[in-house]
Amino acid sequence: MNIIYLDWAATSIPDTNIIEEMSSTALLNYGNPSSIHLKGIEASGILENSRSAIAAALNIEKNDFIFTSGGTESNNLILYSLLRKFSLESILKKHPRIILSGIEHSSCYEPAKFLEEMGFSLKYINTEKLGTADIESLKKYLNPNTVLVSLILVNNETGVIQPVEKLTRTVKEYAESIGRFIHVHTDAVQALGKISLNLKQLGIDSASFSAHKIRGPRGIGGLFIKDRKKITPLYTGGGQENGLRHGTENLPAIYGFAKAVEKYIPLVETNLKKIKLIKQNFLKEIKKLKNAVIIPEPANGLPEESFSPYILNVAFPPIPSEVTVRALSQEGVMISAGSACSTHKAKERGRVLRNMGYKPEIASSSVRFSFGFNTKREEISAALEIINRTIPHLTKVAGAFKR
Amino acid sequence: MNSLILIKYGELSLKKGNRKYFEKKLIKNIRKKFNKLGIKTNVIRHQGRFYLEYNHREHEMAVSGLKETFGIVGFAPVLRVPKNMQAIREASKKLALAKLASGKPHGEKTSTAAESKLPFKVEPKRTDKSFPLNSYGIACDLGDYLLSEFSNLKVDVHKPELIVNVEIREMAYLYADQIRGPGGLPVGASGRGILLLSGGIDSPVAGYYMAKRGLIEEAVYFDSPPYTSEKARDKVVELSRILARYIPDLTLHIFPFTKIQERIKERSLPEAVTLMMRGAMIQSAHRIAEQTGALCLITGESLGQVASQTPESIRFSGSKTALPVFRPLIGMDKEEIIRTARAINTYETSILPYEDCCTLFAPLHPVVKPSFDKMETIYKSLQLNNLIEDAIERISTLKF
Repeated sequence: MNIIYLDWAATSIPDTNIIEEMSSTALLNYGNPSSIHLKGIEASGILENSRSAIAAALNIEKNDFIFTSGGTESNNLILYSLLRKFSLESILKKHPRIILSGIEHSSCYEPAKFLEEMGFSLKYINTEKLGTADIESLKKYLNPNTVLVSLILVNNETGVIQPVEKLTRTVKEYAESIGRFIHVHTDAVQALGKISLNLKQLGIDSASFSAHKIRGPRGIGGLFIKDRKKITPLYTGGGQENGLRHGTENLPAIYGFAKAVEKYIPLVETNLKKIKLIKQNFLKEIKKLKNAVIIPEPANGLPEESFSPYILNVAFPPIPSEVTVRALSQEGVMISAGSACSTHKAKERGRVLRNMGYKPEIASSSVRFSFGFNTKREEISAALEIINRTIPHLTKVAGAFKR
Repeated sequence: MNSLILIKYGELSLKKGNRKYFEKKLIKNIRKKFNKLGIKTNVIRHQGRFYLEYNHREHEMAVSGLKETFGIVGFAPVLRVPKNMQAIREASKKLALAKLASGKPHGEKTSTAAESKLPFKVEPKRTDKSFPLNSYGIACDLGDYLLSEFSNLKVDVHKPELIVNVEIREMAYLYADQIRGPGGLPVGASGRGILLLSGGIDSPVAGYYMAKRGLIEEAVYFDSPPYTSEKARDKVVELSRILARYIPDLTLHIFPFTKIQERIKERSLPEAVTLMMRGAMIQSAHRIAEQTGALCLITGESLGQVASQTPESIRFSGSKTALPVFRPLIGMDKEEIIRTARAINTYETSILPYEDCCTLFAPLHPVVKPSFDKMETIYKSLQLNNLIEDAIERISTLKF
C-alpha cells in the first residue's frame, strides 16, 4: 500500500540528511558539553554553534534561546515557573491571574488548569467562530494581579493564526499603565519554519518551539526567553541552559534541530507558496463533498493570511472523526482526528472546536489534514480520489436509517 | 525432578463409563499446560491417582498451572518415603515444620500456652494391608512422635489446623495442606463449542464457565473496521490469551463483519439494528461450527441486561442456529459476573475503553419486545447469506 502522509502537524517525516548528520555527531562528539577536556570543549562548541544558528534564523540574541525537550516542556516551564515566583501564601491571598485562550494546546491549557486548582485565578479569552481569540474580551480580564497571558500563535487544530502582536500590545499597554510586568507567552510550535516569524515584532516575552514538526528529531525543542531572570524553573540541577533547563544536553538532537532550522527557515516563503497552492486545490475538491464543513469557513470573512496553509480542519457529519481516520488509514491516507471520539467523555470532546462555538455533532466528526514541506501534488490527487470514494460511502452508512 | 504433587480429580470418578477417557484427557491437558509454561514435569498415573513430578524451584509455576487446569478438584505437595516408621516419622516432622513456619501465628489469644498451640491430627490410610501397623497404630505412633518433637502442637481431632495425611501404598505418601483446584471437567471432554467473544466483561466469563464443563472452544470475534479500532481487536486477542490459560489449544477467528453490518444498517429499521446484528452473528457462528465440527454455541447473554437479551430477543437471535446455545451467565447479576471476571483476570482488560460497536450502529431506542414474525421478515429482507459466506472465506485465525 502506498502511504500518503497528511499528518505533518502531528509530526513530520524526518529529513534523511539531518538524521544521518545527527547520527555521526552522536557517535563522534560524545563528550559532555560541561566537561573541560578536549571532547567536552568540542561538544560545547557544537552546542553553542547550534544555539547561534537557531538564534540567527529567528533573529534573536543567542543567550535568549534555551534547548528543552520540546513544545510541551517549554510551555510547562513558563507556567510552572509561576509556582516558584509566588509563595503559597500570596497565591492564596492574591490569586495571581493567568489569562489564556480556550484554544491553547493542552500543554498550556492543562498546566494552567492545575495552577487554578492551586489558587491562581484563570480566565479565558473568548474565541470567535472563526477560531480567533477576541482581543477585546481580553481587556475585561486584565487586572493588576495579572501575571501571565498566553496565546498560541498557530492553532494546531484549525491552523488559524492568532493576533498575538495585537494581544501583546494590549497587555503591555495595560501593564505600563499600572506600572507592572505581565509576561506574554506564545506557543509557536506550529509556526516555526511554516510561516514567517518575527519574534521582536510580536513583542512577546517567551515562545515555545519543537524540532520534529520541521523534519528534525523528536524530544528536542526550545524556548525563546527575553529575560531569563523572570523565570525560575521547578527542576534544578547542574545549571545547564543558563540555569533554566538542567541536565546533560541531548547534543545530537540539538545539532539536528539546528540543522532543520538552518535548512527550512530560509525556505519559509517558497514552501508557503507551494503549500498554499496545494491547500487551495485540496480545499476546492473537498468542498464538493456535500457534507463537508470547513472549520472555520474562510468565506465568513477571515482573510487568507489568517490561516496557516499547512493545516486544514474539515468535519464530515455524521461520520465520527475516528471512523474517517481509520477508513482513510485502511486506504493508505494518514490523517488525524480533529478531536477524540469517546462516547463516555462527551465533556472532554473537541474542546477547541466547542470553544469556537461548534456543535458537538460537528466537533466530533472533524478531522485534520496537514501538509508538509514535501507534500506533492500527485499525493493530493491520489488522496482526493480515495476521499471521494470513502466519505460518501461512510456518510451513507452513518446517515439516515431507513424509516 | 525432586518434588511431587498429588492430584485429585473428584468428579471424574462419578462417571464410571467414561472414566478412562476423562482421565486421558486430563493427563493430556496437564502435560500441555506445562509444555506451554515451559517447565519440565512428569505426570504419573498410579493406582487411580495422578502425581506430578517437578523441580522444586518451579513450585510456584506448578501450583499456578494446576490451578488453571479444569478437572482437578484439589492437589497437595506430597512426600514419598520408604514404608518404614522411621522414614514416615521424619516426613511427618517436615510437614509439621513447614506448617509452623508458614502459618500465621495460630490462636488469636495468647493468654495461655495451651491456646497458642497448633491443633493437629493424623489421618492414616492403609491400602497396603501387609504394613505391620494398622491405621490406628500409625496415628498413635505419629501423634506421640510429633508431640514429643514439638512443644507447640496439640492433638485436636475435631478442629485441626494441621492434618497429617499418611497413605501406605507401594510407598508411603504424606501430605498436609490441600490446595483447591478449579474443579469441573477436563477441557475437551465435552466436545467443541464456538464462543462468541467480544471485548466486554461477559463473554470471556461465559467462555470460562463452559470450558469448566469440558468444552474446548473456538472463539469468534466480529471485527468491523473502520467502525471499530484495531485496539478493540487487540483487546479481544489479549482476552483470548488470558482464556487460553484455561483452554488448551484455544483458537480465535477474526470474522470480517463490516459489510454485513453496513447492509443491516442500510436496510433494517433503526430499532432492529442491534437484534439483526445478533442474528447475523449467531448465523455466522453456526456456519463456523458446521465447518469445525463444533457441537454448540456459547454466548455471554444475561437475561434482561440489554435490549437484545430479553426472552423475545434471545428467541429471535437463537433461531439463527439449530445448535444448542449455551448461555452460562443467563441467571447471573452483573456483580457476580464481574467477580468471576476479576478472579480469572479478564476484568482489567475488558474495561479498557475501546468499543466493540461504533455508536453509529447503536440505535437510541432498540426493540425490547420484538415480534418474532416481524423481525424474521426484516432479517430475510437483509439477504445476508452470501455476505456471510463471503466473510467466512476471509476469516483469519489465531492459535494460542
